[in-house]
Amino acid sequence: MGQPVKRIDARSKVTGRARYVADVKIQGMLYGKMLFSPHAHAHIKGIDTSKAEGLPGVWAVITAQHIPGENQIGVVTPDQPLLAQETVRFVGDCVALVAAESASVAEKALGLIRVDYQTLPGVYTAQEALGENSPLVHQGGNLLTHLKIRKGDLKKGIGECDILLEETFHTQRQEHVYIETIGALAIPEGDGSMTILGSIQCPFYVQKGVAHVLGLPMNKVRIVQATTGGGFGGKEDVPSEICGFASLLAWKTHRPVQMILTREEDLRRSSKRHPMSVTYKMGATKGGKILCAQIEVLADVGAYATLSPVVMFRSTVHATGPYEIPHVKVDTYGAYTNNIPSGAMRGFGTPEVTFAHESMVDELAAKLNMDPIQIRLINGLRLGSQTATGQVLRESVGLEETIVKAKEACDWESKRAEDKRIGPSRRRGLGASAMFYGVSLGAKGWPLDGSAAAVQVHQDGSVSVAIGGTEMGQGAQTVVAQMAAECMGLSLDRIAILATDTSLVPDSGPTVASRTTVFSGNATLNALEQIKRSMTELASELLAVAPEKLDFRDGQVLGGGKKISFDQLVQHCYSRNINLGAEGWFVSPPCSFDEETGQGDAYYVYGYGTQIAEVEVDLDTGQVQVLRVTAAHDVGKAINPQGVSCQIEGGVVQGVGYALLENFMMVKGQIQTPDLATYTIPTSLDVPQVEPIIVEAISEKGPYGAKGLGEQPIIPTAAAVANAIHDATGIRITKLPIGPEALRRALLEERKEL
Amino acid sequence: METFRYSVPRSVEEALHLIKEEGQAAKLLAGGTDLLVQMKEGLFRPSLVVDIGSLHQLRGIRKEEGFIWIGPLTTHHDLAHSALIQRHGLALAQGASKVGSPQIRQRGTLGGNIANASPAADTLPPLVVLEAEVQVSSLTGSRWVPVESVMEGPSQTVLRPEELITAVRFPVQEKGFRSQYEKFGSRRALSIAVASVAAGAYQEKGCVKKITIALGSVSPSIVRASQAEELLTGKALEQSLIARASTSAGQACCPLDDVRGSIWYRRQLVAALLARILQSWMNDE
Repeated sequence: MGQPVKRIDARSKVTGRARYVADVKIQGMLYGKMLFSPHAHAHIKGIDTSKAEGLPGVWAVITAQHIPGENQIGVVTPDQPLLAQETVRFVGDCVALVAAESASVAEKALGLIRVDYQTLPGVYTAQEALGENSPLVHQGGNLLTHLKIRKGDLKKGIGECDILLEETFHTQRQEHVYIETIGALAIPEGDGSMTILGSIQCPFYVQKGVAHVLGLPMNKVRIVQATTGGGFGGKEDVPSEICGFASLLAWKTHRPVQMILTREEDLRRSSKRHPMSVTYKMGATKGGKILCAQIEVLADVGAYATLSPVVMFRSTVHATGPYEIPHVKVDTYGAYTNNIPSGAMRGFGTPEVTFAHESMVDELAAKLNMDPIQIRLINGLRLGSQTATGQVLRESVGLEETIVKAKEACDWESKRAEDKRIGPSRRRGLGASAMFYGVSLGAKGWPLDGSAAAVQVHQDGSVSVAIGGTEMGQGAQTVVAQMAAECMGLSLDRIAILATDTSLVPDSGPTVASRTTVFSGNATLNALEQIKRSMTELASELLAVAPEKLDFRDGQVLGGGKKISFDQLVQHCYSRNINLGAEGWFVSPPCSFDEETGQGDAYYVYGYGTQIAEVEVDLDTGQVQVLRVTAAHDVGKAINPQGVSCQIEGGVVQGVGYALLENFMMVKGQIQTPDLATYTIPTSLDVPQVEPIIVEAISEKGPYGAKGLGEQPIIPTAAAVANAIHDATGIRITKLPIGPEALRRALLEERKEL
Repeated sequence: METFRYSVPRSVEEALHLIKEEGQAAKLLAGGTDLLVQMKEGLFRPSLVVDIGSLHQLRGIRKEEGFIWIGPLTTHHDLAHSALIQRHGLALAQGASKVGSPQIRQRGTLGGNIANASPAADTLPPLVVLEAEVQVSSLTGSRWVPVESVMEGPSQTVLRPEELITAVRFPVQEKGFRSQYEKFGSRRALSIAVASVAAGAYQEKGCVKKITIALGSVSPSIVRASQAEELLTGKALEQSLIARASTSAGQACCPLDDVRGSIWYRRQLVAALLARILQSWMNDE
């Protein structure tokens, strides 16, 4: 614990032995396919499936009318039919499903289904959606959410400023590009229940969703997570839809049905990061103290709410960045459009606003002729600071340390002073960006914020741990195993973490929001402490040593000069019928948020980070190469420092993609980047050198002092890159991604000498 | 993917018989890096796939009779690493080294790249400036066609269904000749060119005697920047000339406006890439 260890799932993954859902083939299995709407907004006048049903090898064709339960899959807001019934609202809406003996027969059958559509006028930007007389995506109106923060006296704050800046920023739709597409295998059991194996992040969401759609009680739906190749939020709620499809077909045919999305299907159906327009007014004194921030965020929610209400909550709480600002007014709006739904993606509404506030802070520094590091140190949150929601930070605030360490590691002062010109048409620059991020679900998700673990110590002293959080590549199993080993004084190889299965542990909420280390970790420790109590009691009796003197260490239980091996003690427990199984539970510390004022303890604790990017700009083409990113992150106690470094590296790479390259484009509701040839992500040659720095501001509520980390590293990267481009060229780009064409155009417009 | 018949001919003649009999519904499979993707996407539904991959006589690079001869099944990897190509047609080695990824360069072939006829193909502008020709064979005989005339538009060539590319060659140029290829893509690998430029020139005492400039990914097929060629011919390379020629090359093309780049930007890129080539030649003098 606290030492770098090799991931416990590394060997099975690199040798190809790990079993993903597509690797599982069972007797009598059919293949499922879905029929997408070609239109972004249309009325369904009729569906003729007779030809498809007649095709040899086809076992079932299902439309909305066949659904035995309720045709509803919305995770936060009940606005999303699983299968479109009367209306299609985006091009990923599905109108029919087919199960056939092969994927190619199923594909052929899709081509035989005739759907009679009457196209409807649509809305394709959030601005358009909120305009007067705009077509409605849902009957209740296009405005889905409006959240507010009111703190201090904005007018007074503006009056006291020596400088006041205003700017609007635009961010794009980003796709997760997990390495494994979403897939599910639904198996109808003899007793009328349904078992589903899938590539999923949140099995308990799937259980609830599938039970709802099939009209089954939840105890008749069991979800087992297969080895999952990445999630990044993309497998939070969308797998409920795909598992819903597969289980409908399995219910109808009484045969197992496998549904593995092709990359193109996955891109078309899965949610994306929200495109946002963000307007900031930010003012400061001559000395660089930020006094006020007026912020308006407008997000394109897409056709369905999915997780938008909670994503927008994060955008709201984090809108001011990690700074103490006395006068704040924030309004965030989310509007329905006929675009692909925006949903959960690593950072969950925070990278968008961070791009804006970190650009603003740099602009303030530039106008005040102040070092960008200095302005961040002046305003940054520290112990005792009050956030925009009025929360007083009482523990674990490592921001300042991340700023100082990142600055020192990258040689900030001398590099900033260097000549930017490194050739007639090449410039180098250095840019900084800071962030904070609430760990776990916070005030808006508090009712879901409990987690369980079920632990057994077997007769041979080996330990199995079933957790409600999932492993999707982030390293959760390894850190939970490390904590369990530490707690029991055993070596890591004595601990096995079981595949997440809804029949093994109670509903533990979703595996999202950088919460698994803390929540599954604490629940596991809670279970182990119960077992340890029983074991300690017996050891005390056997060794004749007071229980409080006994310690679990190095495979032994020892104290008072006496000891017994862990394994022997376990055998004694078994011979006396002492229960060595236990269930653990952990609930989030209380959080609050007042809807009118936006005041409250929004999250129980925050992670902090600072990244500094070094870039090289080709003035002739506008192309940017990110050379190096120094990334210091406060994660509380780093349970597995190697895992932390890997998360930082991965987040930076995804952040570089967000900054420069990735853009899931839609025009009039139609996808312009339907595959990975057109939606481009960084290759290994585009990746900068990343220098991770771990800062450990211990959180008392975390297991061994840990906080969450999964999402944080992507959050500041785009702003750091944008600030570095500004340092290199003097050009402030306010729109992501910073593609070469846009930068070349800006260079020509703003610097006539080129 | 639809079902199809698959055959592996043991000789060029057998391959020619097979495609002659099947006609339009036959497809030749070399490296498969384009064909397999197109078949999976349903763009082609051939009834017969003729796998010529084992016709080893169609592979290899040699220098003979004043030409560099390249077997059409030579892979991009082999082209990029060939000392002969690097010495006599550097632009082609550079182009081949910028195709796709290492995996694609190990599979993809020069003949396939020519026959696939993508305006973004990385080997085509270099072949044009090297004045390369392809030997096209059928059961009735063979003919030589300049690479510049092979492509008629995206996925369109003068090749007839019963024909097979059996050789590619370009003349060994005299001393003083040099060639270079520059590509711009949105990322450093696995990138389809937004614009590309190849140039081949004879220089004598700093003076451009003859120059050929070919542009990729900016027109339905590979185009020459004739006006820039004229501007440069007979002159010594210097800054203002490079600037004029580059701008002129940018104007010469009629690019596509697509997800990868606008017309305006592609023209900017052509100018920047040509300037980069000419600049490096000027600096070498």
